[in-house]
Amino acid sequence: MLTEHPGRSNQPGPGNSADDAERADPTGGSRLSDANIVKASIGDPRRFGEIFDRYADDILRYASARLGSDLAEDVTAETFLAAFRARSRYDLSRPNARPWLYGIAVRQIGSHRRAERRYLQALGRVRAETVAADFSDRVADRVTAEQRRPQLAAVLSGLSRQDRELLLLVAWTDLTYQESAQALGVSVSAVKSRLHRIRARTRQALAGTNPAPPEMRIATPAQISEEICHG
Amino acid sequence: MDEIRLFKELQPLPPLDAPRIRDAALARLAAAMSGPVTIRRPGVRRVAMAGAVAVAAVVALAITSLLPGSHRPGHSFSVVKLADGYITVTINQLDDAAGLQQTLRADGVPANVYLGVPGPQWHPPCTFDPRIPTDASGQEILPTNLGRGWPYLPPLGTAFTFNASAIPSGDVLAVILGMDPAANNANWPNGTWLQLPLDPSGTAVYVGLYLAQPSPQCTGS
Repeated sequence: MLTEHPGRSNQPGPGNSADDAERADPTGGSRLSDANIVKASIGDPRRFGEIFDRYADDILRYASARLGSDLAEDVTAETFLAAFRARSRYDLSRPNARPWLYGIAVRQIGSHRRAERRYLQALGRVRAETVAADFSDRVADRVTAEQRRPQLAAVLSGLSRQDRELLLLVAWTDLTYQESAQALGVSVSAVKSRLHRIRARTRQALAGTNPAPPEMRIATPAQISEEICHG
Repeated sequence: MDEIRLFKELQPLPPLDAPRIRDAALARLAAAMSGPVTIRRPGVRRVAMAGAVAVAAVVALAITSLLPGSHRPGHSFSVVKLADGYITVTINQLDDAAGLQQTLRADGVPANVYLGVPGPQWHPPCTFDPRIPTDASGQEILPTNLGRGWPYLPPLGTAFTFNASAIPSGDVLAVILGMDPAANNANWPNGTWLQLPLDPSGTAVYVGLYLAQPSPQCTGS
């Protein structure tokens, strides 16, 4: 996490230490933590490329999912540029830089509100194709999600910006609650309470609605972009 | 059924041109990593000249002056008042605090604009509004894209928007151009601040936005 906001102590916040240390060194081997790389990059800027190597795919995918591939390049580039410029203020007590990067990406995405709005609207319109029945939980969720796509997209659009950012971080990345809290600069308890509220709102939105016909496919960004272009 | 997992299933697939996007982003980062080196001296930051930006400035931790004669042509800022009480501000240069203050006040924003940290009077007995600045609907008054503790690094000239109509009665919006949060990390209240790069090599200048309760000692009024 970046240097704490003025007025707050520099005590390490939640979500650090053990979890971050494991994430930073998942093999248990000699892989440097993100914090060490960021620290090294202050003297040798080229070292920051290692941070890019580790997380560019994650950020790119998230940016593309939020705004489409056209803007994904800008958001991805600006996220890492912003991180690079701010690296001297990175909180070295946080071995894992992923929440930091996602937090920056969220801010970059926030500057494209119009595009995000169009993309969300299109998300609710992409139609489904037939998929083979399967009784796994994952496919059951997928079927339900596709059948209720318009309602879910409406829930997404109707959330406050803060709630939507949180929901999509939790749902579309593999950040933990603690990491999502870090990324957004809020407490873990705030994350949990907001998600509870979002779940309730979603249940309410889905209650009593008729599912779409049982057709399903997984939308690609190109398909969503096409929806945006051609209405 | 976990409702959150339903949203996970809506996530679009990765873009087919992900490798191209990644390469393009890396190229931009590589250009920044190999840019001019910024020399920092205690108490003074020197912003290196950059090719595309015809601005050079010396930014002190407590700003006292800017190099004259090298400003980018054009206005230093713009203020746009929106119909719903929001104000959009774009800061391009830091050299017209008085003008920005005058313009904000003319648009009904009770603003004090400072060039650099206002000085010892900015610390207590200044009383900062302890409330997290949200309006009646729970939306944050100060820019939501700037997040507390998370510097937002838009290109110079990017606008930020805040809900001026929801500033609590009696509060003053303090706009601090060129603050350095790292050097003033004691007693700063909840507020928001953004980071504006003056050149591609990355030396940044901060703009802080705070709500304060006015007093002669703190805000001069």
